[in-house]
Amino acid sequence: MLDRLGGTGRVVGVGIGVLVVAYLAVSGQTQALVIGVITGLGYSLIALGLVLIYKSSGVFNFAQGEFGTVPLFVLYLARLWGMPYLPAAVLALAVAAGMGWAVERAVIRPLFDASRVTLLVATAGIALLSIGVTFWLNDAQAHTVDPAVTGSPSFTVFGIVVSWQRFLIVAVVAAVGLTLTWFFNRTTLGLAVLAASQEATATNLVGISVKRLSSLVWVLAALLGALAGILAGPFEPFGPGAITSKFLIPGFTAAVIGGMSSLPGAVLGGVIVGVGQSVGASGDLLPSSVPGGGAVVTFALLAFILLIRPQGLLGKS
Amino acid sequence: MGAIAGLVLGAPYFLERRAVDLSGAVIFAIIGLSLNVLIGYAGTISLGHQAFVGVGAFTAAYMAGQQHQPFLVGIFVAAVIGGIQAVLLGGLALRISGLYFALITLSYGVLAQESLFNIQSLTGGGAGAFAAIPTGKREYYFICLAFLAIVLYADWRLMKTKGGRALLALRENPRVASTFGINVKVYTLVAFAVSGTFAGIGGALLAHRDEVVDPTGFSFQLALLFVLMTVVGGLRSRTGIVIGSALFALLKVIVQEVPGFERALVRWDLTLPILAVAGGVVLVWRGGPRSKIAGGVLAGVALLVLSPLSVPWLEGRIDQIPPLTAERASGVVGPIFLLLVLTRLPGGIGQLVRPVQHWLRGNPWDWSVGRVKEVQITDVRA
Repeated sequence: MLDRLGGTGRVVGVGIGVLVVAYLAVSGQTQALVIGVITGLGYSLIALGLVLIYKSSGVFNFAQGEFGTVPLFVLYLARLWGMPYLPAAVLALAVAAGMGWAVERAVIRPLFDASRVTLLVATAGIALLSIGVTFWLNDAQAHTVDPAVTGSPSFTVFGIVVSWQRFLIVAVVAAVGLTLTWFFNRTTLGLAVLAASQEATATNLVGISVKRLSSLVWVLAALLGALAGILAGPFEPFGPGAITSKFLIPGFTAAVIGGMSSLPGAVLGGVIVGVGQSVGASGDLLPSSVPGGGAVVTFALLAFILLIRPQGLLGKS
Repeated sequence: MGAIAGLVLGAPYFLERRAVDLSGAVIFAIIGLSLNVLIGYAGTISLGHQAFVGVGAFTAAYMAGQQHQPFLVGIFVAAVIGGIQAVLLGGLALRISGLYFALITLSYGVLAQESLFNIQSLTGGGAGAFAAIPTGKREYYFICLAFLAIVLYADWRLMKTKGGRALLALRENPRVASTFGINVKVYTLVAFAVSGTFAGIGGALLAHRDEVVDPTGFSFQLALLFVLMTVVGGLRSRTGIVIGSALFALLKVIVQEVPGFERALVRWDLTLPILAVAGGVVLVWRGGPRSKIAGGVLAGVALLVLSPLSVPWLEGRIDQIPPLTAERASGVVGPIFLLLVLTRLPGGIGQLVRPVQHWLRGNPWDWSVGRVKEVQITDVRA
């Protein structure tokens, strides 16, 4: 992975990473470090969906967070109606897949030739509509939903307490990473998606339907968003727009850090944002009179990477 | 023209208990015009405009509450500070453009909401800052209207000068513009300064209208709403944006004040099928062969829902869904407007108003005046 970094990127990226980890380890904040990494892996799931969609349609998908919130509400409702956890989660994923498909058909395809910023505004409109509908059905009430793992809530390694739900996030991100690697390297369908993202017209000419691939990618991205919502949702009470407000900007920052078109980059970017936010929130970075350290760090990371290295850490220039 | 002027000036008299909402509509129009300078003229999208407005609001509250300055001084300082912070952000726009700049502004908005607006000594932290309303509620509406007139005049003058034409040129293509001797960097910053100044005025007026400003009011959903009302109003159309912004600000009031509207929304389980039958009939009557079939199916299903057989069966189930009150409806209807404008009516409300303006100037009626092919936010920079 490191050999794909350019000279500046390698020095800057590795240097900052080592500094931050060393700082946290020395100041005895290993707990915050681990939580930061795992939160960051949650951001990675959103970032992976954003990268997939950007690669295939060149769209910045502002509805990606809602692909997480809506399934979270479905999961909550299904549990409320007494469904066991696993079928409820599968139902939530199915709803997300349907939502991804519908968004592509109803909004993205009619605007296929429009400018990319217009499409950005359109996806923002979808996000607002989804927030509006969840608000209608639910008002602003905050709900809680069970985590996937109940019973023994946490375990301890090297003096660090990790809840099983957080461990599950690590496992799911690893599984998603392996699946996506396999999908894009070993299957014909995955190759077709890559081909369509690089040269849509030629792909059409050899008899592959680019439109169907576009639907497929949106469904995949919606599933990734749903995983983020279902896995990271239970940590806090959630209301309409919960995943959008907590995950969308860190997810975008992660994707941009990774280069906006690199899947491993998105995971790496997610971890960087997660750790950065936990440093920012720890209160060592800013004077105590200035709150909101997490948001400050996210903005700084985004502005820094776009000014210094716009192609991202792992992107091709 | 006289009728419109009468409506605007007389509104707070025949809708007296809504004077606060009416002031809000005027303030939203100022904010919409401010966003139009960036999206419509300069071609740089801003998704952090709630921060621009918030800076103005908190500055005005600080000047009034902690410095005990008069109302107009507060507005002036808010406009200046709003312009300065916009120029600082605009500095980034010189190096980062298009989609990536949209992300930067979005992140800046969240930074402002979570960090800047929570600094205890400047903004009162989570408790909020206070700014008294300088006049009665009805008189305040006219103050807002005066500021809207100033902003409209400034915007109109700006677009009549060399600077305005330079902005339009650099939106179309910055490279070509710079070949013609337009200083792209300076004019981009000018656009940010103007937009920030307008937003600062809007924010200050908002602060004094609400009398209390707190950071939770400036979430990024507000920024999306600003973009939405500007695009629906119609980019580069002053009249369209004023109407669009006022419409979005008053959506709740319109639903509540127009007789029968709220009732129709609350009984959406009846209204929606009736609309579906009407739509289906229109499709069968006017549409092509495929939409005739679709219209027939739609009307059939809707009639089935309305039929006396299924109503009692549905009754118990639909009652579990909360009624669509005015407050809930405004969140659902607005985004639908946006998606319709993007896919069907790219000129927004401005496109609808254009033929009327054309006709009022003494020309024959012509529907095709001011028709736009797509919502052009920016072409080259993205």
